[in-house]
Amino acid sequence: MSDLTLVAIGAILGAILAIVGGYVGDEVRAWRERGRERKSIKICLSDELHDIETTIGSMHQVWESAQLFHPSYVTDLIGGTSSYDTLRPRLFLIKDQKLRKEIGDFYKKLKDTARKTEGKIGTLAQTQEAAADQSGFDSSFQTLAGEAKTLREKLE
Amino acid sequence: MNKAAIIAQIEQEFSQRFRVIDNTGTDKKVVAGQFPDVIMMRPEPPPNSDILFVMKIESGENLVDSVAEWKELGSGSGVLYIIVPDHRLDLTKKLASATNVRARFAAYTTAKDGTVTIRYE
Repeated sequence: MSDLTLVAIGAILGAILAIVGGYVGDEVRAWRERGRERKSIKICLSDELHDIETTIGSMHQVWESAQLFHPSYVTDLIGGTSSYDTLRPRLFLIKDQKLRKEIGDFYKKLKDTARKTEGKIGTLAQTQEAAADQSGFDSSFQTLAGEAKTLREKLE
Repeated sequence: MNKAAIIAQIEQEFSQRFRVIDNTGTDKKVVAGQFPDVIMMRPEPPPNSDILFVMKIESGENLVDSVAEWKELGSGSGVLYIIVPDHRLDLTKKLASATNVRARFAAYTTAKDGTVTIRYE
């Protein structure tokens, strides 16, 4: 084999190595970015779930002390799902399929429960119906607070 | 309309559950830029500034003049209760609905002996 051929083969191999190296480098960079994004998604959701727990806790405190379910807390809950709403299309980055489903189900349940309270809470009417409604909502939101805590622990 | 008697009735009914503030005196508190007649706050743990309800007691006359005030009070974090004489309740509801006022309603009646009864919705 002539020197020229060896040089040519070396150049080709070098080019191939450079291409493969570049590709691998890109993949590694993308993999690390996905890892970082996954971490930030988990932190954002975890913080939001903590806020939801806190709001439900305050709501329950008012319920305990004044037998009242105040609508401002529900407004806070509805307005406090922005992290999930924004990050929803990127949730696929969380590898655990079951956890992803649990997150989606939790937020759906939260929004549905909040919607159900419309017009039924924040009343001073001392009827049995109003009391039963409000007591039912307290139980539902307490369950949600428990689920939020479990999810948060899974995310952390 | 005896506003003092109505407020006394509200205080009697709810002082166990809330901190009821009669806001018709000299040291008035401002909520959403307005002066509600009654403010109800979370009872425990004091001090807290969580307003749960604000109330406006109306005589039933010139309700239209009160709409702007209702709108402001209804936009706050506390639930606005508009308290009107029983025979003006429907009219008040229609007016509030037509002007997009966010409020709940209560109707009061005064017996001949001066006893006030308030029905909350």
